Amino acid sequence: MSSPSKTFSALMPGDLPEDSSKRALLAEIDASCRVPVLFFVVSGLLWLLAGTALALVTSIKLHSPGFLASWEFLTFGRVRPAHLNTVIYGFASQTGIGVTLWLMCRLCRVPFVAPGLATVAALFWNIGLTVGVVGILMGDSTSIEWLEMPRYATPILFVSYALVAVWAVITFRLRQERQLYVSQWYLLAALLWFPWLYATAQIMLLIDPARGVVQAAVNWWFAHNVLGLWFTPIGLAAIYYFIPKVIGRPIHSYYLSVLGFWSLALFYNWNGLHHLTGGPMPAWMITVSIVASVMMLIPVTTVAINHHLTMWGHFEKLRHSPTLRFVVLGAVCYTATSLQGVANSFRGISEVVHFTHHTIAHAHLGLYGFFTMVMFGSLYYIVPRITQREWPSLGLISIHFWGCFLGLVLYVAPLSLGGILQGLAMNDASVPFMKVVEGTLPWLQIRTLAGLLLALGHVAFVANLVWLLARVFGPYRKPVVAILTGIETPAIAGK
Amino acid sequence: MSADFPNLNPGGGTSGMDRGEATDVTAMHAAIVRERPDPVEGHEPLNLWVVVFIAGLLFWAGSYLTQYSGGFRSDEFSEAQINPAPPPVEAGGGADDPAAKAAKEGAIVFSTYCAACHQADGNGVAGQFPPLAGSEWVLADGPNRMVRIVLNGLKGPIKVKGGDYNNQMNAFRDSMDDRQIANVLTYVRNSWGNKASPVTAAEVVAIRTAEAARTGEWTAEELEKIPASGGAAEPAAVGTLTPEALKEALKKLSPDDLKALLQDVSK
Amino acid sequence: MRYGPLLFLGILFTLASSWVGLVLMPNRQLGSLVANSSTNATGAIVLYPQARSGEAQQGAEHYRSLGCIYCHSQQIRPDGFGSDIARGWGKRRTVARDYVYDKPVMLGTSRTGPDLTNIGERQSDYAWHYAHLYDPQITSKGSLMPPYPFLFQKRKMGQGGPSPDALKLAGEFSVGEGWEVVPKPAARQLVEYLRSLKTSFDLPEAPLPKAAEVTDAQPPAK
Repeated sequence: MSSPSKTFSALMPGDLPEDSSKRALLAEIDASCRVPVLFFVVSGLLWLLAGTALALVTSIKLHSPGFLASWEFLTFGRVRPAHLNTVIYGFASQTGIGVTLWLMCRLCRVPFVAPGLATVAALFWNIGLTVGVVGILMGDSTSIEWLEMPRYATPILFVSYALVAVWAVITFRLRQERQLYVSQWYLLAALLWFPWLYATAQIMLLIDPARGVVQAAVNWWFAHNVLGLWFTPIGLAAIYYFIPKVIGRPIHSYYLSVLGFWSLALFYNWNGLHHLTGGPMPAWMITVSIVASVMMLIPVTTVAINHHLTMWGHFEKLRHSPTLRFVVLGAVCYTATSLQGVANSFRGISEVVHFTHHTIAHAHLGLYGFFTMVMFGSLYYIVPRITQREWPSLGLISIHFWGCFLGLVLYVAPLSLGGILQGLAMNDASVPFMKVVEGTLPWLQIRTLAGLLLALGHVAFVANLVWLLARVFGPYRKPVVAILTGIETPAIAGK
Repeated sequence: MSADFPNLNPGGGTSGMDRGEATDVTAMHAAIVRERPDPVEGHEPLNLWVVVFIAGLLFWAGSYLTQYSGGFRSDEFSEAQINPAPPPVEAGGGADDPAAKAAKEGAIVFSTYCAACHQADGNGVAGQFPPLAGSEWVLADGPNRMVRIVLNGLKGPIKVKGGDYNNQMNAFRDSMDDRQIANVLTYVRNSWGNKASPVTAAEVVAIRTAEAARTGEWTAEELEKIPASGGAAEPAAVGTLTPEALKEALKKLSPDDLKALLQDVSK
Repeated sequence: MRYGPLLFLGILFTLASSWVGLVLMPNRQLGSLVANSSTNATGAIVLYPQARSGEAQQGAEHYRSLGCIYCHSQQIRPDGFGSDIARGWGKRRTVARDYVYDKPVMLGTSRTGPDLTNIGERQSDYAWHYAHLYDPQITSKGSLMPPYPFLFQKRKMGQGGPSPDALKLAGEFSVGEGWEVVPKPAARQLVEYLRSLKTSFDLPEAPLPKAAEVTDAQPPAK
């Protein structure tokens, strides 16, 4: 093996030659992950494009109700849940699983076990999702928020998930590294919590429906926990891995990690019923959820301290690393959306913002601003390593980042404000309802503009990925080291 | 240049193992080679202020749970301890002057129950729902017909401002109380260019009592037989008012309203 | 942390706590609620709530399939908490028992359109509902509700003139000489469902408020 060049030495401070065996293992792990992780990631991103298209249609319909209105399968009440399920189960869950698989392999130091199994799981997931989303558009939506896919799609998803769960347990048992890093706690927890949530919801809402408002309690316990016990842990696991990894420093405090994890595990799952404040539920259920929502300040502040103090003093690295850019943006949005969520759960504030577009803005700050940004950052890191190819275009990376960042700000800030104004007007009985509706129009139109920016970012990213994948089948090219070091590469032979 | 950057394919050609695979394995794994070591956790001790913060939150949680859980009962829905029970709904709240209050309530009641059909501008919908602005039915001397329509509904053909309408209006006798009916009719009779005498709650009470036994909607024909103003206590020809029914209805009135009713009748 | 088993147990018990507290406990407290029976003025027994008629239940299925919950809520908040009661959307707050016969329970979380808990009390006119569903701009100009033309059928008028349930469309909404628009069964069922939405009944845990004192309004200045 030729000795590492000066450039590479600059990138590996403190790395000694004996580390090369570790590198070989990492390379082997990454190569073994290639097919299953790519399958999940590419499917996830194709669903992202579908979900973005559905999102634009939904957004336009909300301020221009006559848009595409004559087709029953495109009516607002169907495209909106189709968009929701496409992005949460099609994009977010699949990229989440892809990132989870790779992180688990890396952290357990085990090459991918039975990649065929995971690939079949991905196939089933996509089939189940297609059946489910088409079912919603054809009129079989369950009208249970976050669980709209009809019953006949669920067994297919269940088969897929069972395969993933089995894989996770096997990999964990085979782990070489005895010390468990914080990301592994979160990932294991997410993988074990999700099937429990989903099975409970399916049984108590669809298979043997509970009576009356018990359905509402189960619905919102489920929906909030998909966010808090499935997406949040995966996102946090990724942030905990990539921030210290890219900047080369340890996480600020182990004790904060422990505190953050267990307080999240204890309190987050009690939050769900704050979605029903003022609703037909006994007071104690709402109160308990409000208390749990406020107690979330504990994990949120500890995680924020851990992430942000680790980053402190290293912000110049954001310039050259797209991974860091997206992941840090995601971490900031996590703190922001959690604080917004705590505020929203107080009865006095819920009185204003419940039933308004403010809730939608909050949901997007969480799922898009936090989870999606972290996923994008993770993919910028993972894909080159499992394909052994570099991102072909820095320009497309820039378009992706700025499209998503500006789109996110343009989405969340105006719609949050618009929602508050809507709520205040609605709470004044002397304002006729139609006036309240008219007042929301400009904010809804701005949201469509924001959506166009987001769509631009997504298209840029998928184009870059497709270009990269095309190169997998071509001859190897030299890496574009400018991304990490800011050093211009010499002209690449044969480009 | 080449000192900075190794020649990844010295001598050209491929090893033949994998299409395009260069012979320098390190270079091929460039992305992995340039990684930093895997992350570890630092051991900054837990800040005391974090502990204080958590203790504070736990204290708040305990007190909030104790106060606002309604005893963990399944039938206690009340937010009462947080929002102390407000006085009964005053839709005209915020205005001090009773006239302004009444006008405000009239507007809200109209917006809730009437605007859907008769529209916020009082012009109705052509061919479907008759207008109220400038309507001869609204601008009649007295409220006898209007109150009856609101109480029991209306069906069948009716001519309003020269236009023909034939739809069905639902009864609001159970949805609106007497004060609300009086205020909304006053509002209707004095909006969009309409100018007519206000309707008092006592008048509504009297008509409601007189028509206590009536079921079913009115038709325009029946209404035209009733004088628009004057003693409202005449029941329509349809249906009979037994002394028992009248007694029951009178029992429901408050002493002030009973007095007003007797004064009205004895005019 | 090193211990897989410890981690696993912790993960299990933390979710189990809310599974018991927010899923099993509510099911225990509210899962066997039944209708309330009371006697009315003539001595008859009145049950509230009652299961819906077949047509109305079919209509509930259409409400579910078309996703009406994404713009309309069906819950009244307490007096003084928001303006639900002040706006006339209900006379009292809704409680658990109001929903015992609903499958699925469609409380909704968004008010792009008004609350529908008691729409059957505010609006029971078929013609209004058909017009509103066919094109909301007919009855509610400026509304953001989409039109549902696929719930209706446009067809040639018969020899004897328009059908009894044909929509009366005028002006920009008219469909031309000799044509009419009639509701399909789905539209009729949906309207029956909407007409069945009424909760202004007394319940022991949520009595209707007593009517406020009837006082004469001062006549506005002429």
